[in-house]
Amino acid sequence: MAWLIILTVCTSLSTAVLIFKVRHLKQEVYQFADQLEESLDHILSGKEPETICANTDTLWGKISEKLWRASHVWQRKDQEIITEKKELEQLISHISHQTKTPVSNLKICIEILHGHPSPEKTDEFLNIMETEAEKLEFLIQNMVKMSRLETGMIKIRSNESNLQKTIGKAVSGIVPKAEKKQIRLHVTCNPQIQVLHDGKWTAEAIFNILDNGVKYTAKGGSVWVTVTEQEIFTQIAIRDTGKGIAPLRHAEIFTRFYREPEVHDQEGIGIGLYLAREIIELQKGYIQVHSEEGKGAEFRICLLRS
Amino acid sequence: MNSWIVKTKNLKKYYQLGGHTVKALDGVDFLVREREFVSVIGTSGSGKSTLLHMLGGLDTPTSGGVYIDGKSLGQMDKEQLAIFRRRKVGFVFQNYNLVQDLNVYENAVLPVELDGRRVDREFAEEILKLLKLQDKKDALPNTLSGGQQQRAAIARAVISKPAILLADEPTGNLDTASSHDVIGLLKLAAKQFQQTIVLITHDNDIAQMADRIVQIEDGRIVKGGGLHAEK
Repeated sequence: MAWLIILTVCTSLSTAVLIFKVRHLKQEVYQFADQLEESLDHILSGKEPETICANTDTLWGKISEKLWRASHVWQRKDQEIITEKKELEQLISHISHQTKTPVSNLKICIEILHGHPSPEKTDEFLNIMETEAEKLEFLIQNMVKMSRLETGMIKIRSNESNLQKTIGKAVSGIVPKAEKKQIRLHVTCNPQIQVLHDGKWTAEAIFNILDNGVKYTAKGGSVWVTVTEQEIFTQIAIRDTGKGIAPLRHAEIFTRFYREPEVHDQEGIGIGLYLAREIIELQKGYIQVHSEEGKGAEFRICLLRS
Repeated sequence: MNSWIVKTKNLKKYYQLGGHTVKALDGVDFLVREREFVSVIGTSGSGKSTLLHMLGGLDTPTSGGVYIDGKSLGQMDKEQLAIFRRRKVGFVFQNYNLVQDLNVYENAVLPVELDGRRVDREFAEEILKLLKLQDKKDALPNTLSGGQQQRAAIARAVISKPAILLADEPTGNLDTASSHDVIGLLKLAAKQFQQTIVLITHDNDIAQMADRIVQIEDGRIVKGGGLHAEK
C-alpha cells in the first residue's frame, strides 16, 4: 500500500514540475516571439532593431545580433543603390559633356568647308576634323566599355590558358605608342605558365596599365612586364620609369574619372585603371600599386592560380 | 547612416615602467570605414600593437574611447566584452594560434562552436575553398606550411562573420611570396564576406596592399589618419 502512495505522490509531483516547465517554456516562447515581432516591426518601418541584449549569451541575444546585422546589410544595400544611381547620372552628364566639344568643332569645320575656302584652308580644316573625329572615337569606345561594365555586360569567361599569349596581345597593342616615345619594353614571362583567366579582358586590363605607364613615362624610359608564380597567385608586375604616384593617391587612382591634378593636359578620361581593376576583381584577382613620387610606378596584377 | 565601423577618440594608454611613464598611445584618433582595408605601419614599440589590442577589447585604455559598430567598448562589462570579441571581431596573429590537436576544419569552425551556434557546413567549406585549403581539411596544423597555417587561421577568423578582422603582423613568420599570397587571400575573403580589415605590420610592402596606410610613431598617428579619409 505504502509504495502505491509513494508512486502516486511521485507521479503527481513530476507532473506538477512538468506542467510548470511547459508553462515556463511557453512563456519564454511567447516572449521570444514578441521580441522578434517587435524587432521585425522596427525593421519594416525602416529603423534599426534594438540590440539591448545583443551582447548576452541568451538565444534572443544571438538572434537579435543577427537581426541587427541583417537590417544593417539591407540598409547599406539601399544606400548603395542610391549612390549607384547618382553615379550613373554623373556618368551620363560626363559623357554628354565630353562629347559636346568635338561634335561642335566638327560642325563648325563642316560649315566652313561648305563655304568653299581655299585649298590650303581646306586641308587645315580636314586635319582638325580628323583629330576631332579621333577624339570622339576614343571617347565613345571608352564609354561603351565602361557602360558595359556598369550594366554588368562584361562576361568573364575564364579558362585555363597561356598567360604569355595574353601578355603578348596587350604588349603588341602598346608598341606603336612606346616606339613614338622611344620607350623600351621588356617582357619576362615563362612561356609555359597557364592561368585560369579570360584572355581578352585580361589583355585589356594589362594594356590599360601599360598605356598609363607609357603615357606618364618620359621619352627614352623603360617599361618592364615581369611574371612570377607564387603558391596561390600568379603575379604580373608592370613597372615603369615614369613620374610615380604619391602614396596618398594610391587608392584614388582606381576610382572612376580620377585624373591626377597635374596631368589635365594629357589625353584621357580617367577610366583605364578603373576598368583594369574591375576586370581583375571579376576574376577573383586583385591589383595593387607600389610607387612613390618621382620613382616610377609598379602595378601588380595578381590572378589566382588554378 | 554612419559608415564608420571603428573609431577611437583621443585614445591614451600609459604604463608605469620603472618609475617613469611610458606612453604607448598618446591621443590617437583613428577612423576606419566599413569594408575598408587599413594597414597600420610603425616600428616596434610605436604603439601599433597596443592600438590593435584596444580595438579588439583585449586591453583597456588609460583614457579615451573605442567605438566598434557604434558601441562603446568602455561601457561593456567583462562578459559582454567576451561576447563582443566572439561575435564582432576576428583575430589573426603572427604565430597562427591554431589548436594543434584539431584538424584544419575543426580549427576553422571552433569560434562558432564556442559561441554555441550552429555550424553552417556549406559556408565553412566555401571559406576553406576560397582559402585554397579544401584538400587540407583533415590535416593537422603541424603538417602544414606556415602560409597554409596562416590561411587556416584566416578561415577561423572569418567564419563567425565578424564585422572586423584584426590582424597582428600576420606575415611576420612567412617568406615574401607566401606573405603576398596570404594577404591577397585575406583581401579576397574580406571582400567576399564584406568585412573590414585592420592590419598591423612593419613591412612596407605588405602595408601597400591595403586601401589606406596609417603610420604610427611614438603612440601618435603621424600619417594617413582619419582626417585625410574623411573628406
